[in-house]
Amino acid sequence: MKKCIIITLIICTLCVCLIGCTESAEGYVFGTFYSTELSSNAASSLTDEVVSVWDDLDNIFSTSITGSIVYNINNANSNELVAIDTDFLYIWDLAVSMSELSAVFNPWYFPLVELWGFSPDTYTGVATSIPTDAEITETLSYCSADCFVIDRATMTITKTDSRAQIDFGAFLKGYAVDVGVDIVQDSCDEYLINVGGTIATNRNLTVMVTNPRGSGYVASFTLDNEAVATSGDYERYYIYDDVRYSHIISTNGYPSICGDNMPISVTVVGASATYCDTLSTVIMILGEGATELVESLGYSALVITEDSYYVMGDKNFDVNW
Amino acid sequence: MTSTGNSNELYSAYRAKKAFTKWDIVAIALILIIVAVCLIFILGGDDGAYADIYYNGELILSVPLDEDAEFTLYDVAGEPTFSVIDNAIAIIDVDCPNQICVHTDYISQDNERIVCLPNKITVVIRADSDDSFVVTGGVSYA
Repeated sequence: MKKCIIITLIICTLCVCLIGCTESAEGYVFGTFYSTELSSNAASSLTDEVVSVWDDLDNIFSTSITGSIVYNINNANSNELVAIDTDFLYIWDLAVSMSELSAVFNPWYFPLVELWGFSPDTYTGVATSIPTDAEITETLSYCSADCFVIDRATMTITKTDSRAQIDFGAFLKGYAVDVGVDIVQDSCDEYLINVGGTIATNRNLTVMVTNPRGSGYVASFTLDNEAVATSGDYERYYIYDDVRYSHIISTNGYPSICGDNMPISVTVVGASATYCDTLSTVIMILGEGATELVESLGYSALVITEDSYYVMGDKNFDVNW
Repeated sequence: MTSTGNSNELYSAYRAKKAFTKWDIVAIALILIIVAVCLIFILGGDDGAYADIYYNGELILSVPLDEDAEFTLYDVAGEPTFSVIDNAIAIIDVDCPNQICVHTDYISQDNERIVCLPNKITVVIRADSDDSFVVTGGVSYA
């Protein structure tokens, strides 16, 4: 009978491993949803660690959580000292390097996002008016990194203009995905991390691209140990005087307006989710003008326009548009 | 010599004994059957697709998709009304400012999801399927 007991124990152990190795989690962070699927004996604790780090990031970089560093900065008067930490400095430096990739990527445009009614806290999807040229010109004058002074010795930041504000939301989802991958990749056989549609996985996985003008999907492709991010004009937008205005603001202070061959949806695929997130915004503004930048960095993109589509880089996209 | 003789007898007796008796084999077979039944029940006993409904990140309901139904969750913010038709599920009514979740329409394929960010409701399809995929784009901000 001893043999039976031993065999039973072995089989039960195998069963526990089989059942307990994959864990899925759903939740909300950075104003969007997240979903994780981890295959590991430590899946539960790894999920907890990833979510905890994301919550910490949200509590530093949220524009709407009272007491976050970004909230404190955005609500500070000029020359008022605001304490920062090393995480903030890291993201600030990352934002500067991302804006150096392309001048159109500007985390300091948040006052313009608010002026146009697109900030997450004020967006309603309806506009009864749009800003005047004078208001836009005036707001542009304080939408710059030059309005901020960082003292790395005392770990403080001050503003030269109280109206200046920041928002790292354009690449924070991508950064969060990359941070999640860093945490789990050495401990997981398989992982899938999805923050609001910005995704990274070490699996070979089919990805569908949301239809920007209706339900269903317009394209599919295979994600192979890569990351993907999508930007578009189809969720945070409003139509005023028969013109569609979306939340992505160009260097002239106006939303990127749909025109001939201008993007309405951009999907970027490559090694880093942070870069995918950043480049998808850049392409939304520059269109085909971003091709050289995207390809030089080794990324691929599917760009959907009102009437057509085009591809940057080597990735194969199966498009039905 | 006596000691060696005893050892040899014991060894011969041990060799002569069968590794498994009939009852050992019956017991092992029974255990394997029980484990197999448990595994089928736990891992895939339900062949039909179903939808997991999450509220605030907590799984609150699993809905089979093989039976048409319409129901409202009054304890959930926005009091969403769900419709299940032809193995697909949709949120057809909810108190929410942007209605993105309603516009998502019916979903039916493994891993597809509907998200209502203002009310923190997520619906995810779970199905055994070779056509599993993830979706990029959509549902970014409340």
